[in-house]
Amino acid sequence: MKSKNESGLSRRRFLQTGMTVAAVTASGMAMNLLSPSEAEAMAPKKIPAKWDKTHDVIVIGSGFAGLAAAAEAAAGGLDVVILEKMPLYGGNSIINGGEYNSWTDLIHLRETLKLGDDSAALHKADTLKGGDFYGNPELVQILTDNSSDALNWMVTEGGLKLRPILNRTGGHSAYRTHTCVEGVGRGYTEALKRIAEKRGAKIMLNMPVSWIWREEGDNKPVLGVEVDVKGRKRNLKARKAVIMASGGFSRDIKMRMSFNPAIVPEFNCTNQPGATGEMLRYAQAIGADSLQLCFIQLYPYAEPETGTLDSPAVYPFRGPGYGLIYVDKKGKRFVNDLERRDVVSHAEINTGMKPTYSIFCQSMIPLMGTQDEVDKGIAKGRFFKADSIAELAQKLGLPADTLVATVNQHNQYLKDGKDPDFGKPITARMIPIDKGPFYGIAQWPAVHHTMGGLRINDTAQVIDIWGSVIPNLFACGEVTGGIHGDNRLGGNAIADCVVFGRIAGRSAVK
Amino acid sequence: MKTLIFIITLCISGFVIAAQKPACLECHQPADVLPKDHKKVKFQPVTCPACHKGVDIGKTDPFAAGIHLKHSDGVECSVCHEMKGSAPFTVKGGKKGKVTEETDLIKDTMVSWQTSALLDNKHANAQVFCNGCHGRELPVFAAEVSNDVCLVCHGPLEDLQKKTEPMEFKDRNPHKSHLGDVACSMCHHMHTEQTAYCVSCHQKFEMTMPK
Ligand SMILES: Cc1cc2nc3c(=O)[nH]c(=O)nc-3n(C[C@H](O)[C@H](O)[C@H](O)COP(=O)(O)OP(=O)(O)OC[C@H]3O[C@@H](n4cnc5c(N)ncnc54)[C@H](O)[C@@H]3O)c2cc1C
Repeated sequence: MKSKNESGLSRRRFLQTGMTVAAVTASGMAMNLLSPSEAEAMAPKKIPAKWDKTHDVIVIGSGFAGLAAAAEAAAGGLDVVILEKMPLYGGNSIINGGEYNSWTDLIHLRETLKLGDDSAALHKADTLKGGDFYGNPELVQILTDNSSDALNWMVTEGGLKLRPILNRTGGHSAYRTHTCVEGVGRGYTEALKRIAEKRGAKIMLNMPVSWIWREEGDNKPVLGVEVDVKGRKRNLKARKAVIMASGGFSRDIKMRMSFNPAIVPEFNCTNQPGATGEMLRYAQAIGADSLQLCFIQLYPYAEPETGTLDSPAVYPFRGPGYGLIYVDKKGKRFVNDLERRDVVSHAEINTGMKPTYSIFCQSMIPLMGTQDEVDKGIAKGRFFKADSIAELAQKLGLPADTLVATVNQHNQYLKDGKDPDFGKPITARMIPIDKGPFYGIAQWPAVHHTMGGLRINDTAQVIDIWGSVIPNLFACGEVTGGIHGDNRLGGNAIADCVVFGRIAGRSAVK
Repeated sequence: MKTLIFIITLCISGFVIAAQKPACLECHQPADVLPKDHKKVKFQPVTCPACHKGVDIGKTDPFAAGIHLKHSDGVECSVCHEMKGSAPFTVKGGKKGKVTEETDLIKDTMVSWQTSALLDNKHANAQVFCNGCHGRELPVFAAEVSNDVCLVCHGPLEDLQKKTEPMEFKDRNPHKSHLGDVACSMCHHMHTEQTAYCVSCHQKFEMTMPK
């Protein structure tokens, strides 16, 4: 941490470049004071003289992270409110694919299903490697050490139910990806909401936060927030803490482009419409540091036309550990199917043909999902089903002889235990695609996850651009950065959100 | 409660009342409203509220005491309060009331209820007043109405689910979706235009709101 003098000096310099000094040095002004809209840009925002309402803890956002934080903060009987801007709680979390990574769990699924070994240390190593070592090892370790405890907590206290399956998914070297019975993130959000509400936390919908109030001066605390409901503004004071759990910014095209111009507007997006980055900017405006905002993930298996990540779109993610393969429009494999999302996405784009497909067979279905889900997907025209590979090729519009040859070749690779084309690590759990019925589904990358975000420490406190803690401000979940590196491994986000949400909730009331 | 509202509406015959008439007398005769031992009063426009004060809006429960408490079951705001014009919330025929952000919000909402082409006006036409949905909670800033209230008239939910079940893809049912329990008001906004929330992600769905 910098000495007080030093940090005061650099802050002044920072502010001078940002705006007129006079406005800042006047007392009673909120720090930095640059509001997002051009019209207001030079007008200092005055800390409210009177607050419309006061709570102990204000949580911004009602996804996994916000619900977990609220649950823990409310455990001691404090007045905790969650502000959610959308008319629905749950953010990206409630529509998520329901995949949760944990090296173990209270029902010992991996052992029961005889799926080999795993450990928190291996999960940590995979996570760091999968993000090209940009992730902060200390924070990653917190994630991997605590993910099973968080999972068990949702089961025992929240009534979460898990499917009796376990998958090995892209970038992971073990079978550790759990799925809830619902097959969507709602299974977890409902469990967390139950715990949070049981403990007295309240969710308020249609409440967009439009500013964070921080007292002017070095190391001064955050005081509360402003909400703006259709032009009517109210100020809410937080006695103890403001917890930011406002999610990522995948739906914020301007912000996306400003950090990563390659994520062009033409990309579809898997996210809910509220996944925009204004909270991150408000936090920056009061001095919060952020990092790695250019790391934006594409989900390789979204529905090609709209980018929707529906339940069929999760199968291509779950399947490679059991032998599901990806092929291009020529009916040929184009990548190691067990690769990370960034690699698969770019390989798809590099085929130069939209879309690509996943191919699998009947016996894989109960291992990676449910027959009911697949049947519904067929009815909707998402999955295609056929009795032979040639027939499947015809239904998908692929050259039949090439697809037959590709599948046969891959079956041989499984026998040989080696994939000379793409170097996929073959395991005994992988099933040859030789007994029908056979299935196929189209897939294409869509903008999915923003790995970058606010800088936090191991107790989820937000750090400012001078390296000091911002008192009373905490952050957790996708709005934070520095955990997943340049590529988040699938199934790591729920664990990240719940683990750090709980930490933020507990730290906030300390 | 509904019948009571209906009777009141009948006795005021429409929403608009002749300006200077004391609001109380719209429904009451001095004889039936005053207790026997009440001191003698001459009914002026704001006679009753002068002593029997309501409680300031924005305070915890505006219906907790005074004249509001007595009228909290079924008497709709605009029976006594002026909702239009420059001084909203004045008791009809009385002095200008204090205009606050809260009264402003209620005024806007009331005007919408009375005149809009939105669902609130549909409710007005069906004799459903503020308290029909909001109960004794004033429709204040960010007020929420629980689904149970809607379902009293529009339920049961199973019927709605049946009504909106698509012929082809049964799971594309807005009343029974992958989102689980959602607020009716997620799509059926009362005081603003209704929207089919599903379409914000599922752009290809053809969904329109009932008129
Ligand atoms: C379709 C989909 C499938 C996914 N599948 C998986 C999976 O299977 N496994 C996995 O691990 N991860 C998955 N992910 C990623 C994971 O779901 C997200 O990273 C995670 O949900 C983020 O949780 P959160 O609590 O941080 O944010 P969110 O759940 O997005 O919640 C943030 C909330 O804050 C609200 N908010 C934002 N700004 C404001 C404001 N100014 N005022 C008030 N409220 C505000 C938002 O509206 C939102 O509701 C998936 C993501 C998507 C989109």
